[in-house]
Formats: sequence, structure tokens, C-alpha cells
Amino acid sequence: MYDITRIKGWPMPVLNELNQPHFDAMADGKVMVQHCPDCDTWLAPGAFLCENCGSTGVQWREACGRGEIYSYVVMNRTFDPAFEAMVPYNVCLIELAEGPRLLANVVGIANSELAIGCAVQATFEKVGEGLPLLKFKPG
Amino acid sequence: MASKKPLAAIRGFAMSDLSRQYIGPGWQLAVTAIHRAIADAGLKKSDIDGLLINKSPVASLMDLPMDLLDYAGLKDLTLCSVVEAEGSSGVQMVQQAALAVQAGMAKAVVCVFADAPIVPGVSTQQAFGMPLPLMGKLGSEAPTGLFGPVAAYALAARRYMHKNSLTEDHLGAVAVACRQWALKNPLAMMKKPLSMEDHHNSPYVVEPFHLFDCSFPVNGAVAVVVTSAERAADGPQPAVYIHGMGQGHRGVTNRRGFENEIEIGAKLAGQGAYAMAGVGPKDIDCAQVYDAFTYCILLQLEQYGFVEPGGGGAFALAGQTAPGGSFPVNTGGGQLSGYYLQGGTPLSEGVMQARGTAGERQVKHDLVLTAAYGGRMMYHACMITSPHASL
Ligand SMILES: [Zn+2]
Repeated sequence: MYDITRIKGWPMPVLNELNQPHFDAMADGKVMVQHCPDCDTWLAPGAFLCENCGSTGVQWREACGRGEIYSYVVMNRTFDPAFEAMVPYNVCLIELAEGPRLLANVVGIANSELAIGCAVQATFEKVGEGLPLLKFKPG
Repeated sequence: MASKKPLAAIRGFAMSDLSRQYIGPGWQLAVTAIHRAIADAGLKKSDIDGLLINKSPVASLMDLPMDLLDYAGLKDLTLCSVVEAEGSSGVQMVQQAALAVQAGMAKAVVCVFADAPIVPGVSTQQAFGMPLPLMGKLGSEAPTGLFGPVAAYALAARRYMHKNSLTEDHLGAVAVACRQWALKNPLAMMKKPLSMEDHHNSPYVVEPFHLFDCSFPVNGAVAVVVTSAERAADGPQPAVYIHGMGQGHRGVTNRRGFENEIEIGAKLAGQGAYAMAGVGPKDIDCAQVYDAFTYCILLQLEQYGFVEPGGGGAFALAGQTAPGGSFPVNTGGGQLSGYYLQGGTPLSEGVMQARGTAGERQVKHDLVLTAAYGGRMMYHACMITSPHASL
């Protein structure tokens, strides 16, 4: 369990130095993840150290925003009012071209057309009361 | 097979009443199960010198507090602890009790799991529906709307199904087999037969999971009393000897090259337990595993070595885990059709089978594997038990 909060009416994790740059970059249309300069391993946000070599010199770096669907689900129920109008909505695990995986909603495609391996690219949409959020679309 | 002395044994076992209604707080159910297990062991409260507690990771500490010893009237304990390894704690408690008994830290340790997630006005879906950090470290669950263990496991199941070309028939076969076992278990909550069609026709909760791919939470408690093998042999009930124990924890790595959905710590846990017991998967007669979701049985069959990697789906679809099949799994109906008491579910059925007291559903039980996991299959513990003092 972790604490969740609401930012502009949208459910969000409590931000800290390990995740804030990832969410802040969404306003600029950037996919910021982490990268280990010591062994050139790209990491999903939240890394305190490099899970490949153990270095604590992990840095924030922009990813290219392209990737593919690694796995996906369709939520037929929700427990948060923010999502009620979206049901049924998808949540996908996207494997970025650089290697790390991120959870995101994929837009611009019917849920029935989702498939593992489907190429996607980053897009940004406002949610709640205008919070920019990273999503992906086919392409 | 090796002929080593067992590590310890389960001398007493009991459960509280189980209910889909509120029948009291977790601590009250725990006290009932503890007292019944002590009586089942033919012991008195004053004989108990160890208490290990496993509360649900999503329950409040108030529901099953550390000072349960006072609620249960246990005094002069030389061992008392809360074991927290999420769902794997049910088995880990017994492991720790066995170690304590071996080391002489305690003579009779009662281990208890209790949970009361169903309270008036709160559905079980709400009770378990919070965002859980099951996909890694970041916490993108909340902004993307991935709530609860059903969603996290559905995401894993989809990857596993894709990798092994499985369909909903393979998941359905697991649900159907568990229901067939449940119909033979008076304690099971699900009393109606379940067909493949019923499974497919049940609504999706989170695709690819239908309603019948998910377990049914109940309110209830399970307790066992662990003693040395010698002391257990003196008890009024058949002793359940513990020959091997293992754990495996791999965490979650969300980047290319790591497939946490397919390679889990169960393999490590199984290897440890088999080596300790001096047996292999082919020697095991039945398995009681944590089956919060159908997919989990398929993967554990593979990881514990009962089938080849990727072979779980075909094995279940052929009916091999069901009554009459070649390898009985979750003979009480498991969590899918019996009762969801986290690690307490496989533990309870494992004890009943090893004792030979499982009634209509009793199977060959010379060697029983009992396994439990926690988180999104991040934490694993298992043990190999038998009614025989030596293998
Ligand atoms: Zn590194």
C-alpha cells in the first residue's frame, strides 16, 4: 500500500524525489524516466539505485516515447469516481524502446483491438481539472 | 528418499466459524481458533509458550493486534511476534515456529491467521479494491486507474496467457476443478456446481478475469499448534510432520528481460523445500497452493515442478488437478471456491489432507506440498509435510 492523493481532482501517488520529475515532465510533453550512467541501464521511475549494477548515481533522462504493449487489462469496474465515466477502460503495461515498463492508458484504439506487441507512442491528455497525464496511442 | 528426522510437526489445528457475513472482529475469530487448536492438540493454555500472528496486509492493526496474547489469555510466552510477509505469512509462521521449536526457544507455538474483511456497508471489492503498488516502485496505479489485486493479477495473467497461447478455457478449467473439490468440502462457501459455460458467462471483473477467476473472501481464522516431532506424536490427533521448508522472494523488475509474470520465487522456494526433505516433485501426492486467481494455480504447477514450464494450462484443461485427476490440487476448493483466508487456506487443507481427515475429498497424502505467496506473487513460502515421522 502507498498513500494516494488528489491533484486537480485526479488520483495520484504522493510525489517525492523518486517520482516527481516523471509527473512534472508531463506538462512539457516529455516522458522522463531514470537512467544509470555507470552501466547504461534505463530504469522505470521510482528507482533509488540501479537495479542492474547497484549504482546510486541514477539520473533523470528523457525517453523517446515509443514502445509496445507488454500486457494489458480492461477494467470493467472501478473503485474511484474519477474513472466511472471511462468504464470499461484499459490499463496497459508499456515497454518503452529503452527497456523500462510504465503503466498507462492507451487511447485511440478500441479495447477489443488491444494486443501484446502493438506499437505505441506517447501522447498527453488533460485529466480531472486539467492535469496533464501521459497516455499512449497506436503508432 | 532421505531418512532424516522431521524438523517439527503440527500437533493441533482448528478454525473459527467461517462466514460471508460479519461475525465479529478478526481478534475475536483468532481467539476462537487459538483456543480450539489448543484443545485439538490435547494441550492447555499454560502449555503454549509461543504465539505467531499473521494479519491480512490490508487489515488494520486494531483488527488483529500484537497484544492478542492478552485477548487469548496466553501467559509466559517465550516467543511472540507478528509475521509480515503478506500472503506467504501463513506458511512462514509455521516455518518460524518449526525453527523456534528446533532451537529450543519454545515447546508449543500457536500460529494464527484471522481476517474479517466483510463488514456491514463495505463490499469485499471495496475492502480489497485500493491501489496496491504491485507493478513496481513508482505508483502509477492510481493515475491510470489500476485498482486492487484483481487488476494487478489480470495484467500478469494476460502476459502469461500470451506467452503460452492460453485461452479463457484454461483459466475456466481451474475454476471448474476447484468447484468440483469444493462440492466435497462441508466448509466450502461455494455450493453450486460450476461449468465451463458458467465460468465464461460470469461477468468480467478485470479482463481477462471473469468473476469466477477470483477468490471469495470470508471472515474467519485458522490456527495450528507446532511442537517437536516427538511431542506431536503424543497428541490425540495424527501428527503432521514437517520435512522440508523453503522461501523464494524475487521482487518486481519492470524492464526488458524480466518477466515477473512467468518466473516467480516459487521455484526457489520449491527447490529449497525439496532439497531439505530429500524428495522431488514426482514424490508429492497433492498440492495445496494459494489460488487467489485461477492463473496462479497454473503457474505454480510449473514453478513447483509438477508440470513442465508452460504446461500448466493443458494439464488443468485435461482435468488432472480435479477429482479423479492424476495430481489433486486444492482439494478443499481452494480460495476460488472454498474460502479465502490468504495463507490460512492452503495451510488448513494441507493439514486436513496430511492428517487423513479430509472425508469425501481425501486423497493419497504420503507427501503434501503446501504453498503460499504474497504481494503480486512476490513473496513465496512452501513446506512439505506427511503423516510419516520418517520419509
Ligand atoms: Zn547501473
